[in-house]
Amino acid sequence: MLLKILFVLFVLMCPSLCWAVQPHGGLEGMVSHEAGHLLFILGILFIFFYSPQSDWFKFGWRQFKYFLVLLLLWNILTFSGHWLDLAAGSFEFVNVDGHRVGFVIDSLLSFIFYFSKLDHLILVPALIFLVLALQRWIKAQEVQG
Amino acid sequence: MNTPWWPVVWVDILGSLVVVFIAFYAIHLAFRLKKIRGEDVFANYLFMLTLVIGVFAVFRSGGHLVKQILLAYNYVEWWSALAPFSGAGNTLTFAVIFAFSIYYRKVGQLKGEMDKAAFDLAASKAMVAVTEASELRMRAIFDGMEDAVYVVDEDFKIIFYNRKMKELFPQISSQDKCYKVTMGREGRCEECKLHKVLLDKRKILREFTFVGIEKRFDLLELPMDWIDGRLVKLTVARDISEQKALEAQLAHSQKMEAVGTLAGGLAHDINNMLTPIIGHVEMARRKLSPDDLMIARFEAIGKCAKRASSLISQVLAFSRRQILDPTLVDLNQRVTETTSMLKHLVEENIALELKLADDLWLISADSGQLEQILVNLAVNARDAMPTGGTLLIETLNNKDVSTYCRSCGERIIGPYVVLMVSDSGAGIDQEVCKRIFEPYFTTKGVNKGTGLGLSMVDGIVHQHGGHINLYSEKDTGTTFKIYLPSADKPDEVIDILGDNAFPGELPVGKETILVVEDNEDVLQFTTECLMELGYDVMGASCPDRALDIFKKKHHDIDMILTDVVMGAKNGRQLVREALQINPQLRSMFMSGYTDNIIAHHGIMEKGLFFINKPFNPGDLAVMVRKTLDSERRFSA
Repeated sequence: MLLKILFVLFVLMCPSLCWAVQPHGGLEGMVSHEAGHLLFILGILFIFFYSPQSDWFKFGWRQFKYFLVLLLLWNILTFSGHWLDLAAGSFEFVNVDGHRVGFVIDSLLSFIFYFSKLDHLILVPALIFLVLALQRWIKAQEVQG
Repeated sequence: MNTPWWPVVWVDILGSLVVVFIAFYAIHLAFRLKKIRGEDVFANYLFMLTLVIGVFAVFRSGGHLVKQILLAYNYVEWWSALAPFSGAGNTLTFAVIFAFSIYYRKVGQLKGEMDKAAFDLAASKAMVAVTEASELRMRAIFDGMEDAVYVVDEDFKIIFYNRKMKELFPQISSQDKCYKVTMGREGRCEECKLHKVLLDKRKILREFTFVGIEKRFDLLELPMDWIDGRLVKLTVARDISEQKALEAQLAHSQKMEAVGTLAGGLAHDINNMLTPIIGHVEMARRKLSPDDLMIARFEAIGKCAKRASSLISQVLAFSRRQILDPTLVDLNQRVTETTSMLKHLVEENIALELKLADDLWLISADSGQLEQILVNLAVNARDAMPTGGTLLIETLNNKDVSTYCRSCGERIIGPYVVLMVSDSGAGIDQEVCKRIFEPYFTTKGVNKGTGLGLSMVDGIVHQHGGHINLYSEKDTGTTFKIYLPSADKPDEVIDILGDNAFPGELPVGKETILVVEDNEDVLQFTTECLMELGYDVMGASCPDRALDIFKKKHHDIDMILTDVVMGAKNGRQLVREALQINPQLRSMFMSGYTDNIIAHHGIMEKGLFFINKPFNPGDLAVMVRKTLDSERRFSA
């Protein structure tokens, strides 16, 4: 028995090379992030189609719905933008003194790539609608007492 | 197409700044919402969702701002080092948002279920409140009733009962089985109508007696929709014991009335037979010499006839058709005077006590009949106390009597003078009490009682406008309570017969008398008797014949002696018509039976001369002479 234990200890202590932890590099982070976006999209769709039915919630539902739609568009846009980032080398940038000053839009993908960089144009209105929805809910509560 | 890059930079920078601002504001609003509707799961969820999105927005915007700054100052390597963390942070928030969104659905379902449960609970509470309110209203109504009410479901469970039901069955409680409570049974009653009522949906009315309650009830059983929607049986139990007693009392009174009518009619006919028997025997005896052996035989016949007459007198008293001679009477005085006689009647081991009220009101009564009452009740008391005891006679004034007469069922309304005769004997059971005033009803042994005593008392009392009640407790004693109406003013007292003693020499006369009698034997005897007394006598067997004679010879006729009841025309009408011809006419009535014609409820009117059948020649002679010598005239 003792010999068996000593043998196991010997085997465990002898290896010269060990891959104990999986390395995560390259595309893995990208895939994970995109998966996150997909989950975000699914989450939005769940909220959208399983809206609550309580009376007070209906007061801000329209604004909340706009928020969800805009957020969904934002996710799609950014999801697309991230994939296009991988192909950024095929797009033509204009650099002056090491600084990027322009971009050549010569295809639909280059347009989408460029527009994905302006995602705040969607995200800000989305959040504004969230604020409006919250304000209406609060107002509804104050009116109802 | 060459497109400037600066819009990307500035939109990213400004957008990030705006997003941070909006995100903080949204989180602030979410806090407010949570504060206002903290109990609401959706408000809490929205708060959490907004918080996560806000954190994501701030985190992402912060990352973009840092990126723009580092890139602007050519710190590309730095950004390359930070970018994975920023991206990972964003990814993490996406996952959290997804998790929240998934959970959002669960919360939605939970919320729906909770709302439904809350609604059901509220509806249930409302239903309970409505049910309780309905039951309270119903209880208030049913508790106000004097009938017992209870409701039974199809499983015989009592689900409702009112105050009266609780009084009848103090042990009753909800969910008890009806057969257990009302009948003391372990299973349903054979005569149970529950399922019949519920299936046929019709009401049933029947008489019923609950176990342990000595009362009779009218039971009305009917189906009804209970407040919870069930079909149940409503039972209303009305106590009809008093009504039943009154019905029995009425039936008894009617029976006694019929018996009285029969007895009265019988007495009338027998008196008509006894009158000539007694009269002829007396006249025949007078014609015999004192040493004649036949005298004894005639006297024996006369005694038997008088005993028959006495019996008829008792029957008349019971049938309330006896002629009363009412005078103003001090009942205390009559009781005191009778006491000496009562002492001889009762045994030595019976103590006779008197408790007489001071200032007792006077009554209008026949003294002789009062004596009869006292004697009969005293004899009754004596027989009830064979081993001795106390006989108590009490009198009192009672201004506000409010009870029912046990004998006739009528309501007794004062003022009355009350005569109470009590004994400390064995008492009388309820069954005997019900029949005690019936004629010929007796509990005494053979030859110890006629069964007429108390029926006579009852008859006399009622003939005086009074009432009688009986109270008896087994092994404690019995009290007869007699209510006699008090007299407001003294009546004119007329000594009709005066000294009833048979005179040695009969008063005679020479006046002319018209005798009217529809019984030929009585007419013959009366005519012969008056002729022997020296009078001129004319006989008529009917009023019309008498009127014809009177019209022809009214100047010669001094007096009419007439029977009262004679078919189509009565004696009073005859006299009235005769008086119109001759106002100076004297009149006298004879009868063995009086109806309301001459005697109102048997009580003789003032100023009338009257002789009871059967009478003997002596009575007749005295009465006729008094009538002829009187100044009084019969008033038409």
